[in-house]
Amino acid sequence: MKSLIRLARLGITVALLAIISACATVYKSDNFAEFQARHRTVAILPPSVSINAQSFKAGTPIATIENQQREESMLFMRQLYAQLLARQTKLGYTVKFQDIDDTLALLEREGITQQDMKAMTRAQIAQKLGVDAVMSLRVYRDKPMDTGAAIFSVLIAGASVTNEVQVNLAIHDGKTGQMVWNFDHLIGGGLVSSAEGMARSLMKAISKKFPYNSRK
Amino acid sequence: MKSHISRSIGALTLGLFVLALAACGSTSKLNRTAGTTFSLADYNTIYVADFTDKTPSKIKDEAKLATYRESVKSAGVTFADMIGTNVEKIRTPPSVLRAAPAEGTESSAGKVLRIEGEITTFERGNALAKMLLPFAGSTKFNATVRFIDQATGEKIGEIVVDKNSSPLGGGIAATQTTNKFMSGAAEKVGEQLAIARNGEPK
Repeated sequence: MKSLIRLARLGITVALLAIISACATVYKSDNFAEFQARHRTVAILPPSVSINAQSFKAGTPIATIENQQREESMLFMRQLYAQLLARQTKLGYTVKFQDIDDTLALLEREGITQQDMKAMTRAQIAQKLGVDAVMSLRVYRDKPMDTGAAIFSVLIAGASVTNEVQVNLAIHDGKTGQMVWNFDHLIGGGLVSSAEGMARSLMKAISKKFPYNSRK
Repeated sequence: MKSHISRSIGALTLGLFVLALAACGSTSKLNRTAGTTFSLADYNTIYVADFTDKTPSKIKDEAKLATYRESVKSAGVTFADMIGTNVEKIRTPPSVLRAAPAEGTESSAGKVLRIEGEITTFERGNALAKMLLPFAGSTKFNATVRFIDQATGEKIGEIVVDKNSSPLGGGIAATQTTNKFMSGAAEKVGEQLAIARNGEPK
């Protein structure tokens, strides 16, 4: 009986660890090299962040959730920009990044909101920003277990899934609007994980896989 | 005797583990509307509309219900985003829009295909209950995905999504979330569209 419990516990832990260290899915268009040769400047668009409302206490005003999504959008944008700049000198990317403050200012000057961007092709947005390619980041966040359940889960199985973050980063060619690269990654965080910490590690993972690497 | 019991327990555990790993639920193939003459290969632009909430309401508490509705609304946007991304992975991809195209798009960007639909079941479940008990706290995600000719409003085809977490519970079930289900279903929608357009396996 003892060995059965030990086996079940091991199975649960392995499965939970599997989600924590899940692999990323990367898509690269067949003719990416042609785009890479042409691309000089890339703009990072303001990320769209979606947090499952059921992660919050019931009755939390929608405005509070939307505010947090807006704040996290800026956090992710700055984290991504910082990680890419940090790796640019190390890995020698073949592209430069438009300063994110310039991108935000240009979008505001043109009166383009996130909602407006949905009805525009990426080529149209790139044209407005004067760049060769645009990067769009989408982040989905959930909290499958509340803290109490997570503590219990750690006691029983030795692991928990307290946070779940899925990121999808797409790079579109500014001339044709074609998606040339896509990175999709879902990770789960344990009891001591934080949204900020997970954002940082995800942005780091993106910068490592970033395709404009001159050494590849 | 002891080794026989432990062998049986081992075989049973392995069997349950395989069952738990097995895919739960499905995403149907593209079912074309009988008699439609439209070809999915003819569209240069695809507009993916946010999915609407058609889930039945079981929640009595008003605050919880409002939170649930917001959660499903947001899932409708997320699912459409995921479909849009997978459509863009098709060879010779069409332009993808996530909001209704402006008047006159038909003439400037060619024919427009609208992908729309509704979420019919959205149950987040309970990760802890799923982990500890079989048949408890299941996660469910059901949706209908329709392919519509934007100009005429005629339905060209439909895909039915019916996903649920492993009924056996355990660690695998605990990590099966609505996000994972939407992601898998969106990938299948992209694949089906790719096959219908180019006859290609991705």
